[in-house]
Amino acid sequence: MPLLVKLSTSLRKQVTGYDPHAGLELEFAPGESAEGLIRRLGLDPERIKIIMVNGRSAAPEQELADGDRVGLFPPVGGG
Amino acid sequence: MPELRALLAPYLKENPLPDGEAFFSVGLAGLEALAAHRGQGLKGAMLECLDQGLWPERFRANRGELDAGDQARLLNSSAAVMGCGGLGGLTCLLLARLGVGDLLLVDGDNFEESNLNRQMLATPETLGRPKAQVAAEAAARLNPACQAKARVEWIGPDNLPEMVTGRQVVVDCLDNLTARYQLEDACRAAGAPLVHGALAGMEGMVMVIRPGDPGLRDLHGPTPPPKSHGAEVLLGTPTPTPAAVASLEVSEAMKLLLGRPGLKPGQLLHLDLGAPALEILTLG
Repeated sequence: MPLLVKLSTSLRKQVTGYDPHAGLELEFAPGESAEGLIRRLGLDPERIKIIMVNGRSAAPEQELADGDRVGLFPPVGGG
Repeated sequence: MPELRALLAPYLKENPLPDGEAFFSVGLAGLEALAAHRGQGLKGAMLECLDQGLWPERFRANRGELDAGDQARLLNSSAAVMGCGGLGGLTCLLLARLGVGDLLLVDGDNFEESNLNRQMLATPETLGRPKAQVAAEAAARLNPACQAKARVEWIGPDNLPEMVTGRQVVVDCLDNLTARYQLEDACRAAGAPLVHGALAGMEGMVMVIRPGDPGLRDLHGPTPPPKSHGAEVLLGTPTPTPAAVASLEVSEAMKLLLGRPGLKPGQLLHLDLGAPALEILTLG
């Protein structure tokens, strides 16, 4: 089963062809961490503050499992 | 009660209910007459009526979701709104309409033209005026029973403790994470529950942070990311989003004031008006 990646706010503009409705399906790579996935997407891990795996916050070094849903968020502070 | 009923007789309105029962409400003229008779303020008159199950007409449509005891509790509640711009302007108006009796409205800024797309209190007439002052005037005008106080100040570690101490709820309507971290610290130290709301583009986040709960450091790390890293710099703060996030913040604030369950510790409400989708994420 592929990974389902959902990007939030400004990250959506940084991945070409990202569809906010469907998210992004990516092939599962055994042993890959959340940070590895972020790098695979060409995103800067320093700019991603919140990583959610299956709806729960995760550390960058967390190893992903087949079929995981991964949400990535940059800092959001506007009012 | 008979005395109150007799006093208010010319003003009482009977409101039938679907089950054949009815409840009574009383309009502003009746409340003013009662306040004058008792030599007390409008809020006192509202509380006396609610105590007897008579609804001030202005809150009548809250009945059902709220009972008279809830409405009285809100009138006796205090809240602070930190920031009176996109999130804060509507939050002030909603809290005043909801009937929260004591509001502290804080913002050091003045309205400018670029606020007009989303900030409810920014109008051509208020441009150049202090946001907090305009907010206090609007709240008092909307609900004369609401005591609204403006603080035209930028917040920081020096003035925050005094502003949040004793407040039953503090609503974070600020526009940068550095100030939001300072506010969270002050609320934790003062034991005041905080409702956090932030947005960028068509997305928003809301979290309830009681003292001891996970908070902004669990979300964004030990130090606040610089304002230039915020997604809002790229995506802006378009018209619909602050209103939606402010409404979510006010509903969480209301539940805190009424002792009702709401967002749990560590839960992050993520709103995506673009999809649209609303999801609850969990920290830790």
